[in-house]
Amino acid sequence: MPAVVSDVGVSTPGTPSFEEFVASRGDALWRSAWLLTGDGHLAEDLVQAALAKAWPHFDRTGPGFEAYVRRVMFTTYAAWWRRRWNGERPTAELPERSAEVADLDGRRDLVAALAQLPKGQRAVVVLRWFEDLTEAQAAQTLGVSVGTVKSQSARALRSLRSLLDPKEPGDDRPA
Amino acid sequence: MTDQRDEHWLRERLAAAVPDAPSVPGRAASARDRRRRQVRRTTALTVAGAVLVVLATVVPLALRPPADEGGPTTPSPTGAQTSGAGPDLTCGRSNRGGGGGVPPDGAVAIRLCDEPGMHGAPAPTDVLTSGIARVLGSLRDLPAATVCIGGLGSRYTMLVGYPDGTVRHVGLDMSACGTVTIGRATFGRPDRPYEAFLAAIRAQRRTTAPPDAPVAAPTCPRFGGGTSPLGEPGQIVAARLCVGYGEPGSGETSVEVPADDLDALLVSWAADPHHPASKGPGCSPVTPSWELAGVNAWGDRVIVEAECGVPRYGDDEVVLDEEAQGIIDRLVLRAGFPSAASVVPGDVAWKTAEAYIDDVNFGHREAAAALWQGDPQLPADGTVLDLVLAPPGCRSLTVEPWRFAWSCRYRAASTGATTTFTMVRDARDEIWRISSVS
Repeated sequence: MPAVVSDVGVSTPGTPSFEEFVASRGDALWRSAWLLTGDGHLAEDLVQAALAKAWPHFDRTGPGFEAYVRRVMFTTYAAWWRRRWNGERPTAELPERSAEVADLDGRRDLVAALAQLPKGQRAVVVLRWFEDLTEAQAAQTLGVSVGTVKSQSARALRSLRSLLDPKEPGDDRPA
Repeated sequence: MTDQRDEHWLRERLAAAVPDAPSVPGRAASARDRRRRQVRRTTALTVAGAVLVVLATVVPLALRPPADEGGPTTPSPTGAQTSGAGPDLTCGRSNRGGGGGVPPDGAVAIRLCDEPGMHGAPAPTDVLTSGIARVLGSLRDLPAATVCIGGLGSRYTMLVGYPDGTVRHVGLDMSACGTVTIGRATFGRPDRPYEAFLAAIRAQRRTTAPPDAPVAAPTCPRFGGGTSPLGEPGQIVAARLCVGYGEPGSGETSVEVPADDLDALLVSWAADPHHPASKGPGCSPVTPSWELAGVNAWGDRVIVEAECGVPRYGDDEVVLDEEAQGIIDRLVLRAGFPSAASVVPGDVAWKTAEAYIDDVNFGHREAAAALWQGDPQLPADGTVLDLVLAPPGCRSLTVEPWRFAWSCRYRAASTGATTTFTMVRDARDEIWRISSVS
């Protein structure tokens, strides 16, 4: 039986449409996706893949739609990188995108360091320290135990510390 | 140097590093178009697809505990329901809402239900009949809810049943800052009742036997469905091998794992000393990845992923012995992996190269030829492209002021020789096609 996908885009007063949701929250999704992929092009691809998967559920999930899209995005990210090219991915920026960045070196360093992490650790880093989720919430999102999130967090911190900040204690990081 | 200080430093660095999002005015429309294309591809699937649909419908029903056999119930307007035959703790959409304060003492059963659309850690299917007081106690003295925007997390409804058939509903929303909804009141820290419930289920299972009903292999998890916190790989009693799962455009294939094969896999799993999972060096495209979607005797879902053919669970990875690896190889072939890879507009350029490598390696030569712009230059029939993306990966090349190409460098896993694919496209609504391989 052919599947039917209906158009979603009509909003009732007080209820945002799918377009309005994407317009208001799409950039926030993109920023998390950028941290996961380290690439603007892939980030947009990941956001659109998540939106495409989540769109049929827009009417049903109501106010929880953003959380739903984010879950789909993180699990899609995990699935994409499950198959191959573990840690190796395109590195260049699209030429039409400006590289006007105040701290380009710092950004490159961070992208390079995140790319060194296994995908699970990378997802935990974004969830815990960019999305500001608790360990329990991150565990729920990724479908793993809180203990796994704790251990992955600790390993990720250790790796990032050595990759990004090889200096000894007493450095210039904020106290 | 403390972890807390590191966390603060990392939080600031992440926030500072993320660039401004680009302006994408057609993002919503693009997502909808993409969905429609996916649906069209899905409807084109033949018998294998139909079998998966049937399994997706039948298996969840088979996994339901006996209490579900009566179908969904309808709660009273206050959220409490009564019947003459004790509480009916059926999960369903009717679980939404509910009234009253914190469920009082005297409950005889508690069940946790997944909210519709939930794809996180699945709730246990068993009904809790012991240790109930401690779970109810966890609902008292909860802090006030903290308001957050957005966030992630699972959502459950906890059903609390009483001897007279009354059922009280408690909502556990683990997303954003997390909320516990009791009647019209909202509190924080949903992890407290959730963890209390899991602890009570674990204790109950130590003194009871699993259900007698046979357990069916689960379907492949969609959108990376989570593993139950109560399951372990060594407990799997039925499983399905999902191959190439999750790769956009590659289709999905799976096969149920025969009991004898499953036993051999688990023996190998238990025999190998588990190693800390580490970042691998990448693998050849001819090494398909797979997931073992298993279920234990209690109905808890357990997902073992295999990146580049190496199975992992949590922090561990395992090297399967020769017999077990042979079983996996045989099952992968039986699952029919891979179907011809496909690329759709909107896919990034390197996916075209990936699809091409797969198509050449598995004899889908027409599909491989269709990925070329102009005359295709395919290698000789039977050639295996033993290629992995090599640093620095892909670079963009400006070929005209308004037009650019992607150049992706690969190396042969066996010899180290490099091959460069160049992809171009004429318009944004077209796929990237290969213009040269050198």
